[in-house]
Amino acid sequence: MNAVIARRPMLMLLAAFAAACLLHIDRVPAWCTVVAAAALAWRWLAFRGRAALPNKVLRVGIAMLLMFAVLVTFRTIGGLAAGSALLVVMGAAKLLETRTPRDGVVLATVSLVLVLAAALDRQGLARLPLYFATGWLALAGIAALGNVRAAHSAKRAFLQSGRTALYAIPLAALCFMLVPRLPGALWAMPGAGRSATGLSDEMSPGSISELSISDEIAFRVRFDGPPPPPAQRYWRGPVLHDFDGYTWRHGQRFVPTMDQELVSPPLRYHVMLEPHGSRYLFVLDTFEKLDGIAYNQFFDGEVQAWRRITGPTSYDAISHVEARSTGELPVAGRRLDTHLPEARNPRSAALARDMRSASVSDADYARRVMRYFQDGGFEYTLTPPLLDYDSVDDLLFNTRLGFCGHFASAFATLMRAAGVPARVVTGYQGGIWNPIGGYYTVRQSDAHAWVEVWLEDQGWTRFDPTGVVSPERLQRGAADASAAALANAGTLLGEASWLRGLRDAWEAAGGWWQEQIVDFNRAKQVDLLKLMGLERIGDAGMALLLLAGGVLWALLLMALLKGRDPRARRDALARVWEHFLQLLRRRGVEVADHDGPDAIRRRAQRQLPEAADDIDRLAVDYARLRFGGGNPDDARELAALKTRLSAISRATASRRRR
Amino acid sequence: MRIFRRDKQRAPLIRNWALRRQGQDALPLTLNARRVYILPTPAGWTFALLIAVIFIAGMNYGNGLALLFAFWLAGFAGVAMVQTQRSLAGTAFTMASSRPVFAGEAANWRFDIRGRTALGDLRLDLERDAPSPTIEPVESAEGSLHLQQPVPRRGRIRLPVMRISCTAPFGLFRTWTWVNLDASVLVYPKPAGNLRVPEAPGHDTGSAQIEHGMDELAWLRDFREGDSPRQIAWKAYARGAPLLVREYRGAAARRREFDFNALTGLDTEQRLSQLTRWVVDAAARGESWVLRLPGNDPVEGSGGEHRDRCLARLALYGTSGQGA
Repeated sequence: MNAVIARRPMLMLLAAFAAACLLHIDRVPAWCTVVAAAALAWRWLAFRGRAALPNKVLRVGIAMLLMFAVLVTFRTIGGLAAGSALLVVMGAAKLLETRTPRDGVVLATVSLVLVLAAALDRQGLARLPLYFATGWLALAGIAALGNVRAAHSAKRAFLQSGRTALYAIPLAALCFMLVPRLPGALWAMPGAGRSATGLSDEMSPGSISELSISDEIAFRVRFDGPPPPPAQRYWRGPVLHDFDGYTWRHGQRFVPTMDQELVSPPLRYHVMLEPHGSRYLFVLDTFEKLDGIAYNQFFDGEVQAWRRITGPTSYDAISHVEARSTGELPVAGRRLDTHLPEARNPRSAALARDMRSASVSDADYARRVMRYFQDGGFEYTLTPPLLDYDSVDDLLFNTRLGFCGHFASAFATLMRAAGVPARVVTGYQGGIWNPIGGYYTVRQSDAHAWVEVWLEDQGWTRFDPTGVVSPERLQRGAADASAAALANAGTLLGEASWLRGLRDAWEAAGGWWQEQIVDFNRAKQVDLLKLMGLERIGDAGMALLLLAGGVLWALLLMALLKGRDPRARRDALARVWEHFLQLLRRRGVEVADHDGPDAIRRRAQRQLPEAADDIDRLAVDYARLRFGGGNPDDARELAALKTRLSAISRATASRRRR
Repeated sequence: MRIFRRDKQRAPLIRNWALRRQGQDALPLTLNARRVYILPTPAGWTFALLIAVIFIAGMNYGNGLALLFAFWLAGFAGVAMVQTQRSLAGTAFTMASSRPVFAGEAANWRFDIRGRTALGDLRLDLERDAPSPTIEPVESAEGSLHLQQPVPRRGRIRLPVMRISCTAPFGLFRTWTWVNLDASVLVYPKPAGNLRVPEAPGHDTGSAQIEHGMDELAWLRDFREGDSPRQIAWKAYARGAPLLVREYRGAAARRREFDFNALTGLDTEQRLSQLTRWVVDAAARGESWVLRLPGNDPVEGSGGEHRDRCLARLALYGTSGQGA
């Protein structure tokens, strides 16, 4: 293949690669995108004859340099982010030596692999059209390289590849349903190497002056029975024990697990977690067990998955809203959760001592502090002022403005200052019912922090100071609770119910897509087969079914292609005439394409005198039906023609050649 | 080109099997699906690797989207395979011919083809067991493909087995078949030798035994293919005139006698070449001549038809097709 790529295919290949790079624009370092754009521009200028392509030495040098740069940036070339970056820059390097159609195919393949990398990274329904369009572009590029018609018309290239891709869909669906899935992964997903978008295992409320309300979905929950009321939907995540006066941290934890007495009936629910990059799983209050995921449970009720949540993950959980810890709090636990840094937040410590001495018990003291938050002139805001080094003192005695993190931090400090064990729990609170999907959607904006306090006889008890500062926060979520947000969102979302309906529908579609397509696993495959009444089919049966379906698809495909064939659409009359001509040829009568029916008739009669009559009638009838105003679709006439044709065949049988 | 050469290593076995299976082809020939073979191209293998990578990634990470993507591309390749096969199956040869040529030239085969796919996507190659010179198929738009076949020797030369192949529409698969068409080209002996043109004995023009160089020059006419270089008016050409040929008075009326047996001291092929030269020259001059070949009746006459008949006899002299 010495041929070079023509203009149109080249343009399409460049466009496909550019689109594939755009899919990664917010995932790879900016310099990778710049390199790709520069290479695209260079290749196009070279194609137009305005620049020279680099020679081989320079090309190899550029490729090595780029690979080295990726290695330096990521310190690895494994992993999804580094792999994508490597693909982008190596594709760019390949651009500089793309001359022949075979290079072009390689470039199209790189584009398709980039689509795969993007699909491994993010699978949202909204991104599906992007992946599809980029894939189509790359396939159209392959078509433009592959045949002359597509090379001369982009429309044809898109039509050809689009049609082929369309015909492929039934097989893809069939394989998707029937190819057996692995029960687990062969090797772990390469670390995505990006920070968690939701909760972190640190909390410094004083350092945040504006809490951005992210509308991103954290997870979806479907309850197997009646759901608990919104004010009781506390989704526990990271539990923070270690406080230095300003920042709450996870801390070192070697505390024995305590037994728990489960009071309320079990709540069963299914959580569909969006990837957040860390290991945290979210459960409702005291959980009994999780299914469908490998996890560790800690003494403080925190749950972590064995692997980072880099892809959509789902699990079944059983929880109890009410539970009681039995027995004494271990010494190590008491020490951990009553620790406060020396000489920090002195005013708060004094306040705590005063209030505790006025209370009859720890429980009474906790309720007193809650009243303090309720009546102390505190206000809920998403844009609090920055706090001092002694953040709790500053909040309680100066600013009195904050969000959940501020109040939880202050409440826990007041508890600990009085020697009452307390810990900060972060997670989500609430969730909005999606009537179309039949589940609750919990968003990043539902992120919350509250406090659990150890009370004798009751065990760990939840206190949510934010709830008394701003009761709406628990009913409606952070976005609505913030006064400023209320003014805007009220008109945007609160009033426009059709808009909310639209959003629900879109989310439900996204949820369905996530759960049924992206997360389609062995268990769901079994469910699907059960639904079709094929639960006992087994792997061999599935293979057989797949084979049968594949054959059926192939047959349909053949019929479809044949139907599109212009020659097959010729009418029945033309077919009879064609058979007649074939018969004449077999009997040694020369028939050329340009011969008219009359010339053929005369020659045939001369050379096959034994069938002269039938030949005459057949040719005359044909001419009448075809040209003389007869109905060429008349079944009786056609049958008569066919009878005559077989009569001619019989009469001249002795002339059969060979 | 590279693919083709590599195929040569294993091609004869498969090819001979295929040719035995399908037998001699007669025109018009429609390539049915049963004789059309198909394999992935290197690009196709690359594509298969891509599908495998995506499939394994999707399987491992339990990512339904990646799996769907892999299955979709696999389906695409499947449809592409059927489409590629159909771009050749159903293709019909309605004619294969080449005008007679002289030995040492190239036969210019013309194939009239009707099919589903653009002719530019079809590819014709001559297949031989022995290494053959590179033959570039020339593409033409009007329903016919042209193919040059060098023919070193005279006679009736059969069209060798050809391979017709196609990778349209996506270049992922190559479909091909071997065609053994019943077609041949008549190859005249190479015109050569510079012996004196013999005169017919006892000619009645009154100027017998006179060499034409001493004839009276009658006029100059335009050069025609086959004219002897000795008769070209080189002086006029040097002055800038087009190629002109000297015509002599009385030449048309002269009858020459070309006798195989009279050419002593030459071997058969040299004699045939010399006779061919004389026939071509005489025809170009508009003379009449008689050709005597052993085992043939002498033929006498003039003009293009006579020339072609004589050249055919010379081409087939001593071969089984003699007298055709």
